[in-house]
This record gives sequence, C-alpha cells and structure tokens, in this order.
Amino acid sequence: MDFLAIAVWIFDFLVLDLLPFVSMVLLVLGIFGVINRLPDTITNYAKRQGAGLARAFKGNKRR
Amino acid sequence: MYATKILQFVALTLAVMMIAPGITTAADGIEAATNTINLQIASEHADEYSEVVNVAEESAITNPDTWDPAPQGIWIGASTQESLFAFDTVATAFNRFHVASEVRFNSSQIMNGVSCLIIRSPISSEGVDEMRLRIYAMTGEDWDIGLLANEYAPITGDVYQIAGADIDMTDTSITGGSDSWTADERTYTRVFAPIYSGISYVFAWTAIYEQDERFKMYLSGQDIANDNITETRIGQYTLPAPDTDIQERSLFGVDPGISFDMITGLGNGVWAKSFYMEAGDTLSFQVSIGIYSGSPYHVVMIPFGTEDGTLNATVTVMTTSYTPIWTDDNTAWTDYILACPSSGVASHPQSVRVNVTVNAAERVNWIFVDSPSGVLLTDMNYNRASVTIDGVSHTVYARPWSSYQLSIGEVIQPSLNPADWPPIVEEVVNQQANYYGTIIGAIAVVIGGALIATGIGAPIGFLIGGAGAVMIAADLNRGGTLINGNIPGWLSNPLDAIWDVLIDVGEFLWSVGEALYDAITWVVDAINDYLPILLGLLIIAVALGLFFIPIYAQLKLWGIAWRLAEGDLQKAAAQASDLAGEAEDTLKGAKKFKRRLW
Repeated sequence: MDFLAIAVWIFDFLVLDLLPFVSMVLLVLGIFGVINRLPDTITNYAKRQGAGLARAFKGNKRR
Repeated sequence: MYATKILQFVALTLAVMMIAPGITTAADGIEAATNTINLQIASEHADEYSEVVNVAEESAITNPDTWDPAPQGIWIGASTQESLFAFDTVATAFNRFHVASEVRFNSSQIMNGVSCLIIRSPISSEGVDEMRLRIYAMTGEDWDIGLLANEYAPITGDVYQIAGADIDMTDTSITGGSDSWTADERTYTRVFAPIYSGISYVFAWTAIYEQDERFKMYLSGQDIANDNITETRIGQYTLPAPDTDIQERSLFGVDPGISFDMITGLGNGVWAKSFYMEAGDTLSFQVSIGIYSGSPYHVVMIPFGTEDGTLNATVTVMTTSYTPIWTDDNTAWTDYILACPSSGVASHPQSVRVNVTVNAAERVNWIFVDSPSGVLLTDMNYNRASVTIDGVSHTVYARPWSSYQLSIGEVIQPSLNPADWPPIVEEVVNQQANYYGTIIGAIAVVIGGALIATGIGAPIGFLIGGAGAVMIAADLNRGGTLINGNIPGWLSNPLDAIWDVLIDVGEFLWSVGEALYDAITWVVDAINDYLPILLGLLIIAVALGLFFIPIYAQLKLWGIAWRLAEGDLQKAAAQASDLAGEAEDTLKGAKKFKRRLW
C-alpha cells in the first residue's frame, strides 16, 4: 500500500466513518443537555411572570 | 491297356535301378549316359489326395504347441515335449521347493537382447499354493541356491538380482490381472526386464505346496537355449516332525522344462514400451537428487510418445514414503513432460518418487533405459518403474528415460500463452547518485521550519519540511553524497598551474551548466516521485480539517442551544458571536495565506 492509498484511507475513516459517529454522540448529548435545562428555565420563567403579575397587582393597590 | 504298359515300364525301370549300381561299379571309369524320363499322369489320378494330413500321433506334439497362449514372439525352449518328474518328497505343512537353472541366450536367438518376455515355469502348478520367480544376472561362474527355508528364490554366489515376480496362483487370465497366469498346470510370467544375449542368467523359482502334495517339475531332454549348460539345481525343504527338517539339494545333469517367448526387443539398451492407460493409471519411479541447499525449483522431463504427440497428465513428486512435495499438470504436454513446481522446494529429500497420472485414456509409449554393463542394474530402487493399470502394478525393471534437475527459476514448456511465460526480471533504471535531493531537501526543511514559526503557516510548514526530510532520506538511500570532487594540482609549475586553472574554470563552467541541466531533470523526476507523497500529506491535512472543524462547530452550536435552554440569551448571543468571530478569523487567515502565497 503506497502512501497516497494510506492518506485516502485516513480521509475515508475520519470524514466518512468517525465524523458521523461523533456527530451522533454530540447530538444525543446536546438533546439530553437541552431537556435537562428546560424545566428549570420554564419554572424560572413562570416564577418571573408570576412575580411580575404580583408586583402589578400591588402597584394598583398603592395607587 | 495303358496301365499295363505303364506297370511294365515301372517294373523294368526298377529292375534296371537294382542292377545299375553293380553295372556302374563294374564299369567304373566308363562314361555314363543319362536318360530323363517324364511321366505324364492323367488328371483323374492327380486329384486323389486333396489335403495334407499330419500323420504323427498325439504324443508327438512339439513343446511350443503346449503353450497357452501360442507364442507371440521368438520362442526358445526344448522342441520335444517335456517330462513331468515327481519327487518322492511329500510336502509337509511348511515346505519349500526350489528349482534354478542357468541360461545364456545367444545373439542368433534374441539379437542383442529382449525387454519383454514370457517365461514358463518348470514347476507344475498342481498342488502349488505360492510361487515366486527371481532372475539373477551372473558376474562369475559360481552360484547355488541359498537358504532352503527362504521362500524368495534365493541364489548366492556371483549373481545380482535383476527382476522378480510374486506369482498369483489364482490368476488364470492371460490379458487381465497381474503379469502371471496359470493354465493347464503350467505357470507363465510376463517380465518387463532387459535380458541380453551373451550374459548368463539364473532363473530361480520357489514353490510352496499345499500339505500332502508331491513336488513335481518338468524336465527337458534337450539343452535349453543351446548354451551348452545343462544343469538344474533343486532344493527341497520339509518339516516332517517337530524340530526336524529335511533339506535336500540335488544337481540334475539336464535342463528343467523352462521355455521362453521373447516378445519385445531391447534396442541398444533404450526401448519404448507401449501401455494403454486409462484415466487414473500411473507411471511411477524413484530418482536420486542428492543433497542441496536453498530453495531451487525441481524440474522433471519425461519424453513419451502418443498418437497425436500430446498427453493429459499430472505429475506428483513425493517422498519415498509417499508424502507429496509438489505437483504440476498440463492437459496437453507435447512430446515430453516438463513439470516444475510454481515455487522453490526448500526441503531436500535425497530421493524422491515421481508419479505421472494420466488424466485421459491414451496409448502411451514410455521410453526405458538400461545398460548391459550392470552398473545401473545394481540399484533396484532406481532401476525400475511401476506402471499401474486399472489398479494392477506392472514392474518394468529399467529406468524410465527422464531427467530430474534443479533449477534457479521456474521452467516451463515452450508456449504461446502469455500466462505460461516465465517471470521476467523487472528493469530498474540505474539512478545516478547526486546531492540535489539533499540540498533541496535541506532548503525545504528550513522553509518548513520558518513557516511553522509563523504559526498560521504551520500546516504548510509541516508539509514542506516533511517533504524535504523525505527527499534527504531518499537521496541517502541512493548513495548520494554532498561533497564530491578533488583539489586541483596547484603546485606543478606556474604555467601549467594557470593552464590547469583555466581548464578547471572551463570545466567548472561546463559542470555548472551540466549541473543546472541535471538539476532541472532531477526536479522533474522528483515531482514525479514526490507528488503522490505531497498529495497524500495534503489529503491528510484536509481530512483532519474536515473532521475537527465540524465537531468544533457542533460543540459551539450545542453550547448556544444549551444557553438558550437555560434562558440565558446574552450568553447564547456571546457564544454565537464567538463562533462568528472564529469563522471570520479563519476566513481572514485564509485571505492572509492567499495574499502571502501569491
């Protein structure tokens, strides 16, 4: 096997085999991370909205 | 009336003939007058006897008439019928009956010799359980039967064995089965062995009888082969009681009832023997190849003759214990087999067995070689071949004409098929050793180093530096040297020195031009040599880029997604801006590289 053939083999392995595999792993990890973070974010968002509403009602009373 | 006259004339003539000797004796010296009388016999009397009949009785049948089948070649033996002689000895359970006789054929009978003959045993087959024939060539005068208990027709003295046969007494087929058959209580053996005229042979038989049978053999009143040797040695061995053996040796002054049918001639020690061989039938023989070192190719050449000159056969060379070493085959060997393995043979048995298997039915003439000197005959292993037809082995007591040799390369028969051509040694251009690779390689290494130092140009620097290192290594492999030349002789004398200097300058200029030319040629060659390597390095660099950049980008994208999922829009924007910045940097770097390059 000459050097050029080895280089082509390395190209095939990295780009066609390893890259899709690593991308799949990253996809799984990424989705997992997003799902992990969403509940807290939504809770915080709801809390914030609730606090805003509460503040608004208090303000009305002050007036 | 005519008959009466004729009778009268005959009577008168007879009377004259009776008286005439007396007259001629009496009238000795007187000139005799000769009268010729022609008898005219009428045609009706001429046809009285229409055929000739043999008037002899049955007992007068000649010896060759008793052969079964009738002799095909030159028949040699006693012409009168042989007498059956029964010995007093009665065979015990363990018994041996030996009959041996010396025979020397003359050239009037068999010219210089025969290669195939049928021998009829003098031992009557009646009551015989086993029989063996051994043929010995004589080197001197003395011989005798060996140990009588030995069942293999042993002969001691000035003899060496040239052929033999263990006879199957149940075989009654002349054409089928083994080379022996028994018919009408006579046993015949076909022997493929060179028998020469003028050389004495001892034909020896040993028979083992069934119990209670009497030893019986045929004797001849005539001298077999007219060799002036009429003697028969008999050996009898029986065990009538425990620990008691009776051994009896007799010498008869007559020849035993042996007869021969000489089938095939001998040529001059080289002859062909024709065999009809079916697919699977074999010719097998042993050759000595001696000791060697290394792994030479084995080559065996065996001439043959067939109707169309070709033979479909497989050659297998085996050890003497029948372990195959190599094999070669051809559907159409032409005129001779030239078999050679496809690779060298490292193991070196001193003797090998060559086995030729015929793959399609064919009448094949194999050629055999012998010498009357007896030198070849002494080694029974090498001076015989075995032709196996339909599972029955026929031994030829001669060496098949063949040549077994060792070769440094593969040997094949002449052929127009390119697949059969021998491997041709590849042409290698003798590359001139120079130092351009070293110089340019060193420069490339320096440039590569400088590019690596710039940081951004590091990948290209690695490429150029690597290529330079490859050039230097290749140059060293070819034997290139950096320093080449001699110091000119400055000190001879001033004029010579100036002249020499001018010549040196001229030569220097010439060499510079030559060097430039060589350098350009070398660069072209080098591009040819190194382009694939450079291309390979480039492919690897691109592959690394294509692998790592998308992964980096994916990590960044997932970072943005996570920040978004956390609801941190600012951090997400920062990540996105970071990614955009790096993309911009890469583009800028590429532009910078492009600017530097052009």
